[in-house]
Amino acid sequence: MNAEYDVGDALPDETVDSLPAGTNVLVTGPAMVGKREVAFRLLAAGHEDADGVLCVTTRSSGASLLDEFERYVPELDRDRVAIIDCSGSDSRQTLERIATERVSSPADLTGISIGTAKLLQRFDGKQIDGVRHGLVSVSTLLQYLDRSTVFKFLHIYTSRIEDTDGIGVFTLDSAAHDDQTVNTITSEFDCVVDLREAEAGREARIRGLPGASRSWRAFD
Amino acid sequence: VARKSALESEKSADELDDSEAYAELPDRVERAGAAVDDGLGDMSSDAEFVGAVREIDEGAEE
Repeated sequence: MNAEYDVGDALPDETVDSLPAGTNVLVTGPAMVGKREVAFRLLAAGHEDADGVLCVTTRSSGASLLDEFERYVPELDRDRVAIIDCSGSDSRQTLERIATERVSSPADLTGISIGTAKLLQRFDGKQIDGVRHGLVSVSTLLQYLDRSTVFKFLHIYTSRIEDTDGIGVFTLDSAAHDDQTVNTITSEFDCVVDLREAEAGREARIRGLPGASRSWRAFD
Repeated sequence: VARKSALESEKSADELDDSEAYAELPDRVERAGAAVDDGLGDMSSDAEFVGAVREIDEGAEE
């Protein structure tokens, strides 16, 4: 099992180069600010270290997610990538050599959990110890389910990631929900990466990570 | 890793001091998380993990 997960330059603080196993990170900000990019960079940062990536996609298809992810991984080892596709995209489309579990809807939380368990067992069978979990996006879950249900699900899902010594990377569109919802969801995470557009360009800050600067700073 | 430390807001300290709702939020969230934990029991296996989520799913459908 990994004790630490390398994050390369994925976070807006050069002093943070790894995350402890069990850490769950929420990347949040308004639309089009690059949340998915940061999430994918965090997921991709360990690919050279033989980490596995298990990603839940709630809106875009598994194929689309894979295309996007490949931009951050020059040489993708398809045996170490697994996708849970809740998008309802064409179920006949098979992703070449990518372990995929299809779930009928983002509201099917049981389906997501079964898919996660199956794919984790598959990684286990391949002796892949370090697993980076992604879920893009929590906002879609909130469109299908009430806040309390999503909160409970995230509590269990992040606990499972923690218990299995993985790391989790989730995204949330902070402008799409009321403050109470954003604060409730945010509180479930160990670490929050906030993104915003400023006059000089994109800025980011990190909350909840010991040693990391909490100040807004430019982040390309 | 401290989850509570993620509860920082963009609001100023004065604004936060004046906000009862914000002041109560950590406790409320902690209680909500604890309530979920109480209902979970041991979640050390995949089956227990799936079972815990299934309970939430069924609760959401009711």
